[in-house]
Amino acid sequence: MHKFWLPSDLKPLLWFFCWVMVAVKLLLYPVSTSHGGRPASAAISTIASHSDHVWTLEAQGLVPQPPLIPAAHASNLVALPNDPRFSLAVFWFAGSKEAQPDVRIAMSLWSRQQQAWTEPVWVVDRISAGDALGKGILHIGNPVAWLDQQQRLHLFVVGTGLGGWAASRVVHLRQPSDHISPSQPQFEVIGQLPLSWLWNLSHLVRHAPLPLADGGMVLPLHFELGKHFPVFAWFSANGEFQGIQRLVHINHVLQPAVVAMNATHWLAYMRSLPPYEKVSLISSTDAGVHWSWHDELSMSNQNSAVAALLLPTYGVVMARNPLERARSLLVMHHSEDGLAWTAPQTLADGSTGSEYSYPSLSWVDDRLWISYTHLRQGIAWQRWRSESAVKAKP
Amino acid sequence: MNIWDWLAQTATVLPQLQMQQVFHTASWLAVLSWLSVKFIPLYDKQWRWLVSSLFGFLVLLCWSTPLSSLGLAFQSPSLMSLCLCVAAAWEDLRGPSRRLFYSTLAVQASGWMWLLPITVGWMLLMDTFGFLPWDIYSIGFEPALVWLAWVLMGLWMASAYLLTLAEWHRKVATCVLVATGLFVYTHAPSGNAWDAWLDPGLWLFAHIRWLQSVWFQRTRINHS
Repeated sequence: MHKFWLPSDLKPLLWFFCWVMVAVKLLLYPVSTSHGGRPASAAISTIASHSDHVWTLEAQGLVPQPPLIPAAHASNLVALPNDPRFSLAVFWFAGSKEAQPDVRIAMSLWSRQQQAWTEPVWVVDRISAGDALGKGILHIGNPVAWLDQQQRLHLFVVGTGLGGWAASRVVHLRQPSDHISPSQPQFEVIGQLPLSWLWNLSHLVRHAPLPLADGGMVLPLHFELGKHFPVFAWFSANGEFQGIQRLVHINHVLQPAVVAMNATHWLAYMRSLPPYEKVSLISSTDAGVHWSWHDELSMSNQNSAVAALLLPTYGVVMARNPLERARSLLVMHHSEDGLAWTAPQTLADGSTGSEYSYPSLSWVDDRLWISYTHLRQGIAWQRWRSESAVKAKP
Repeated sequence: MNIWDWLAQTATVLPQLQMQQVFHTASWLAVLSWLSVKFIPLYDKQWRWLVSSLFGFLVLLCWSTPLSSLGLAFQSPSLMSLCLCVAAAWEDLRGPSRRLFYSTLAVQASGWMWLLPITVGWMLLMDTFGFLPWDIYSIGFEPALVWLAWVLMGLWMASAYLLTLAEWHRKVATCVLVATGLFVYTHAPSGNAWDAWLDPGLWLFAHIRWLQSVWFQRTRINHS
C-alpha cells in the first residue's frame, strides 16, 4: 500500500489555503482594468475652419530601399515630435517578395538638418523575433509604430503561423527604456497580443493607433478568417496591453483607420470586401464602447487599404485607391466632419497593373506626410502644405 | 526584487516574456511526456514517465526547433493541460490503482465532466469566427470571470466534501484551482483566463474522453 504524501485531514485545509491565496492576489492587483470609454486625445480635435483649403505638394521622392532588396510594402509613418534630430520615422517590410522568409522590417528617419531620409536599417526579422518569443514565425509583415509617454517606440508586426496571412498573429516589440535613441533603434520583443482562443489565429494590424487623452492608445486590428471584422486593442500610457474589443457584428471589412472627431465621437474607415464597393465606415459616440455601421460613403473602394488622419487644424484627410482603377491610382480627400468629402486629389497615377497602395498619413511640423507602396518595389513619400483658399489666392 | 515589485510586475494583463517562455516549455514538456507515456512499450508506468520526461527534457534543452515549431502551429498549451498532465503523472507515480480518470467509476462520472470543456470550447470556437452575437474571449481579460470561477470552485469543493461526492470531483477541482492560481499569479500563458483553462488540444481530447465514456456506458448497458 502506498503512503499518502499528506494526511487526508490536511488536504481540505491546504486546498482552502490555496483558494484563499487566489482571492488575495485577485484583491491586491486586479487582473485587468476597465479600458473602454476612455476619451481620445483632446489635442487633435478642433475642427475650426469652414473655408476651403488648398493642398500644395511641397516635396516627394522615394525612401531609400535596403540594397539588393527588390520588394517593399505596407509602410507606416510615426511622428517623433520631441526628437531634436529626426522628425519622422517610417517602417515597412522588405525582402525578395511579400510573405517570403527573408522579409524583414526596415526603418528610415527623416533628418531635420539634412531634410532627407537616412539610410534604412533592419529592425526586426522573423528569426530573432521568433527566438525571443520561443514560438516560430513563418513570415513577418505590416509594421505599425507608436510612441509612448516615455518616448519609447513600440512596434506591432504581423507574424504568420502555419497557413500564411490567415494564420497571422501580432507581435509587440518595444525599445528598451535605457536605449530609446531613434537613430540606433533596438527593439525587444514584449510578446504576442492575445486576440483569439483558437491558437491566436488570423489577426493583423495595419493602421496607426488612436491616441487617448490619458496617454494610452487604441490599436486597430482586424480578423480575417471566414468573417472579416475589426478588433481594437487598448493600451496604457506605458504601452501595456489592457484588453480587446472584437466587433463580431461587423463583416466584410478590414484594416480600420480610426479618427476621433472629438473625445468620444470616433469614426473608423475600413477597406471593404465584396459585396461592398464603397469605403466602409463605423462610428462610436461613447469613446469606442459601442460601434455601429454608419451610412455608406460615396467613395468607391474594394480590397485596398484606406488611410485616414484627423488634422490638428482642419478636419480629416483620407487616402484611398478608387475601385475603378484598382491600385493604379491613389487619391486624397478632405473633409470637415469626416462624412462629406472633397473631390479627389491625385497622389499617384500609373498605368493599368501598376500599384500605388497602402497609404500611411502623419502630421508633422504643420505638414501632411504621406507614404505609400511604390510599384511594390519601394516606399514613396510626399509632403503637403495646407493653406486656406482665400489666403492662397494671388 | 521584493514582493511588491513582483506584484506590481504581475499587475499587467500580459505575462512577462520570461514567464511565457517558462510555461511554454513546461507545458509542452508535460504534454509531450504524457503523449509519449501512451506509446512507450514499457509495462511500468513509472518508468515510462521517467524515460519520456527525461528524453523530452533533453530534446528541448539541446534542440529548440521542436518547441519553436509547436509554438508556431499551436501556441502554448493551457495551464489546465499542464495541471492535468502533472496530475496524471502524479497518480501514475503513486501506483496504478490511483490513476486519475482511469478507474471504472471515474470513466462513468467524468464523462459528464468533459461536457463542460466541450461546451466552453465550442462557444470559444464560434466566438473566434464571429458566429456569436457577443464577444466571449474578451471577457477572459476581466477579473470578474476569475472571481466567478473562484466562487464556483469553492462551491464545487465544498459540495465534494459535504456531499461526499466521488473522488474525481476533488481531484478535478484541485486541478482547476492550481491552474487558476498559476494564472492569477503569473498571467500565463497569454493573459487571458480562457487560454489558461482550455486550449484547443485539451478541447479535442475532451471530445475523445466523452465519446469513450458514452461508448463505455452503452457497452456496459448492453452487457448487463
